[in-house]
Amino acid sequence: MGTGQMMLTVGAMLLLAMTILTVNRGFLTTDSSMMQNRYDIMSVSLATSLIEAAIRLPFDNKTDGAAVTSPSSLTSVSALGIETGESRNLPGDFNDFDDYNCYKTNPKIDTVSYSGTNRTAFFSSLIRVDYVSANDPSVISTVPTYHKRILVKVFTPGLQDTISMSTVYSYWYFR
Amino acid sequence: MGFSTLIDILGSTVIGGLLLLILFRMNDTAVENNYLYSGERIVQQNLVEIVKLIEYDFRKIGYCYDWTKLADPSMVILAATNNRITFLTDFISSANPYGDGVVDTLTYYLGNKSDLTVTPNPNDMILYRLENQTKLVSSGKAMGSNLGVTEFNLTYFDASGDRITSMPKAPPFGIASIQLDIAVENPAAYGNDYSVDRKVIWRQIRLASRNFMIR
Repeated sequence: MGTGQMMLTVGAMLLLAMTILTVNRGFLTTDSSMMQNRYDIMSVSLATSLIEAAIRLPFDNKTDGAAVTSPSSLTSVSALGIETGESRNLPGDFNDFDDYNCYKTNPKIDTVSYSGTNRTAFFSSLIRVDYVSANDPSVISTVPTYHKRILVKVFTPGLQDTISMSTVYSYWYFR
Repeated sequence: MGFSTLIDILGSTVIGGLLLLILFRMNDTAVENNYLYSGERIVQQNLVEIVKLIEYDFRKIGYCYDWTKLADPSMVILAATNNRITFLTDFISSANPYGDGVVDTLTYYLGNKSDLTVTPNPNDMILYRLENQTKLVSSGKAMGSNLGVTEFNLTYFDASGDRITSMPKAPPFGIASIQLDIAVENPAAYGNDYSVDRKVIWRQIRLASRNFMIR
């Protein structure tokens, strides 16, 4: 085999190696996207669950058992969160919607178990509850209003992006 | 033909064979991945569609356009087990987008593995959705499609957030929220691989209908 033929062979092998590497890179990227989607689905389910758990509770600590007729009677902005006697470790004992504000800086840890195995996936959630303006729910109000917004952010080491979901919960009662 | 020429031909044949093997292997992997990815996509889509439908239906537990017909929220769930639930609701239609004011019955339940012996997956079951149970059961029209559901678990919680472990025989059951666990697998996975890694899981903790209680 002459030098020219050797060069051609080496070039061909190089091209083949590059093609294989590109194809493998494509497979790995798609694989990674699929796994991301799986974590996304579980994260969305947990975020929805947290929102559902929150909105089944009364609107405010002051409306738990009694009606209020003025927003000023509601919990003050600075006091949104758990009340005395409640613990962030016992979310089942929360008595109102804004108690979930206790996870504002220290995340809530959730696990999803794979049935039939001992495997679990860990998720962390940061939750924030604010009063929002009636005219624009995206604007946080500095005074109590009849509308509260819960913002849930779910993240996990396996997830590239943070899942963020929110909803507005309004107070209403029959007069 | 000289000895060196013979060596050249032999060498070329070996190298060509190796290249062919690499190409065949690459092609095989591409085909396998194509099936796996499309299967995964279908599974994820199935799961999302199931969850969308269930969430929509479950949110309307105890809803009726004519509220006087379902005035007692504690009686709207007629039956509840870990994989079956029957409740009262009001179906909407294009003519009555908020419901027709007639109380309907909706049942969700998981079929048996033996119902789906044709699919290669040994774990999949049909998730049935039964509208107005008595009428349809008598005419044998249980509706369901095979979307690869392998798990459909319902856990019930009372108003204080505690799990209901022993259910009364008849309503009221005291259910204030429901935890829904669903797992979906590919009904016909590539290479018959139904390991746990191929399962897509949704966990809906404490789905709470607005109509469960008066407050």
